[in-house]
Amino acid sequence: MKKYAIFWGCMIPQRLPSVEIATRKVFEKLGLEIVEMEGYSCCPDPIVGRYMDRKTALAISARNLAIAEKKGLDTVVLCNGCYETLWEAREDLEDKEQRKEVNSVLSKIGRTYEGKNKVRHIVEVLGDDIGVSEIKKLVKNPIKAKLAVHYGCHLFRASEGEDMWRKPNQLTDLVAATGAQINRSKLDQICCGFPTSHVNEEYSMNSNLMPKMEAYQQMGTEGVVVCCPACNVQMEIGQMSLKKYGKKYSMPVFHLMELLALSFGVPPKELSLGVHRSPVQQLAERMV
Amino acid sequence: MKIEDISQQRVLIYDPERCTGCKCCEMACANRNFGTLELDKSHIRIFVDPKNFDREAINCLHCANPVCLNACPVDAISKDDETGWVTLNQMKCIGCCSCTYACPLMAAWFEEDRRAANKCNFCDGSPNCARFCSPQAIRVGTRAEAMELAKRLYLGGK
Repeated sequence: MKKYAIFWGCMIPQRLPSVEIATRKVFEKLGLEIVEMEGYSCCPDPIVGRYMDRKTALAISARNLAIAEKKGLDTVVLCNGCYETLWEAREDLEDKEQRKEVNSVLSKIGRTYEGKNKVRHIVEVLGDDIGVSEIKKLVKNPIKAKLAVHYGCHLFRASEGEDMWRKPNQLTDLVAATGAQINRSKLDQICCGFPTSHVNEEYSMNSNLMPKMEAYQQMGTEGVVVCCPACNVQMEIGQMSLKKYGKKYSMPVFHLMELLALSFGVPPKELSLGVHRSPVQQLAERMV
Repeated sequence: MKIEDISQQRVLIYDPERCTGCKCCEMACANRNFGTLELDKSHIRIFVDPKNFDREAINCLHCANPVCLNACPVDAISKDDETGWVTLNQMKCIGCCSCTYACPLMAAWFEEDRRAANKCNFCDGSPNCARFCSPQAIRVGTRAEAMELAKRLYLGGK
């Protein structure tokens, strides 16, 4: 049985536990084993990590990476923010001087980071290691809905020479494999507004989220699939905040793992979809 | 060493087709230059059309013959012989705004708090905006590369 060290991050256990439930069910169906990263902490958030003391941020990231490294496994993330932070930290820590400095901090807690493991997004793992055709074979309840795919900015982070569309295209292919009809448009690439919401919520709502929601509605989109819990929360809480500006939307937004679990035949009730702040439960019951 | 061939000058290259409109570049710029995340303090601005979702950036192009430099009455703006980067010395600036009006992009802007103009300083060669752009819509390259991209995007590759 193939093993993967899953980095759950903060958003999934705290705000969207349904994504964790769905991931465990999907891994079970795929015959994969989840190895827990005991004692992990926040990645930290790319916005915070980049703008606070860089050395502190790198030490926190290195500590997290060291947990998976000790188990001899790559770190698999379910969140674009975690992907960006850990990916960036791994790149920075290729530099021997920086790694030495970080290790002098980690030595105080008896840990060390050697830079042996990789950081991989769940989209890559499913696309490269499992394959869309294998996913298709497991689909029991083809999804009957028109869905939009929101990639999330950090999914575009690519290594040198890598096509930035590789992972976003894999995400689209995975959604298509569930049988869902995909509403493609230029706005799939546009940010949900989560980074700027840290600074100016009103600006973030008006410049990013509202035009996106407006366009989704006009296109007849029934739901939005994301592969990042931060985008998910931003789109759900954002819809509630937009009521202040007289805009009412009720667009279900949910994670790729939840979509896969539903298509693999997991009953919606087993996924605790009620934790969502958008009508995901209602859509789930309708589309399978 | 003087930069002989202006086409080899290092500039910021913005590709709207890669941009997601997340404005992390604006936060990165404001953070590096002002220690804040206020988007109004950024030297680079990203605009997203709410109707068709086209993206565009306004940033200093560190021109070969900068109009801001020529418009400044007190020589507060200078162009580095070696790197070609155009920088502004706020200690010399008298806040007349000639540069902000002269620049067709208004890349130089008036900073209310200090009563002086301000503009992109290329972060001493390692721009923070390019460093923190996930889709690498902003990167550092030569002016020749920037012109090639501009021709492809705006003149249909002619």
